[in-house]
Amino acid sequence: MGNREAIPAVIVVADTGPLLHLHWVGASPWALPPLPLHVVEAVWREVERHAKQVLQDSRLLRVATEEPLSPLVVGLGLDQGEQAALSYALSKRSREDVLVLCDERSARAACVQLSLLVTGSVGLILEAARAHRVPLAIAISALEGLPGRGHLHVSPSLIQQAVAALSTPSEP
Amino acid sequence: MKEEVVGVVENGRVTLPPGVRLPEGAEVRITWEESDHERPAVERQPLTEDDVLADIEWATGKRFPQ
Repeated sequence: MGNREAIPAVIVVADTGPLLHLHWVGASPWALPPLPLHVVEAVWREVERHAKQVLQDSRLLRVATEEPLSPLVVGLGLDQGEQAALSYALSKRSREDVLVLCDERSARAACVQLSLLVTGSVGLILEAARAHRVPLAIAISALEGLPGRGHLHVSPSLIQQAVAALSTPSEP
Repeated sequence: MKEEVVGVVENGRVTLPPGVRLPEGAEVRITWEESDHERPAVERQPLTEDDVLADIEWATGKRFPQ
């Protein structure tokens, strides 16, 4: 298995973007992590407004209790769901490792600033393909669908970089 | 006899596949998936090259426990 390492995250906190984009390209079953995905109430409601069928996924764990926002996430230009998700992630970090799933640029930057591990729809599709949870051709089709039917705000040319990375045997 | 073809909307006009000729005077019915194509982006800003490269790097060599 070469130098592959197990992703250490125990707590996976999902923002709205990856849940919707992966659903819209039909990738949710295999691209979302095979782990409980913690969804704070504000994000849950946001997903519900766009595609409530997403919330039927048994991996989603609704975090109904609304904790106070961390002062570390206020003033960073984040929306309500992002602030709540990152506050929740920060509250869990002291006890367990945390991975945030997010496609919003400013929220991803905030994660980096707060030393929270973060990835998005692109990373999740790549990981799933490399873990052989999906055939390569289907993963590539999902990646290429992200800017269109997936409604991910990203240029097709950048997606091609991810496709190229997937097509390159970079791992043993 | 009913015939059916699938076209694509480009700049507000329906473009049919090459070779398809509609008979003059034919009545046509158009259906489309409005919600899918008019759905606004969830994100406020486009992802940058750094964001995509970060995802590529994150996914390299790591696996979720099965």
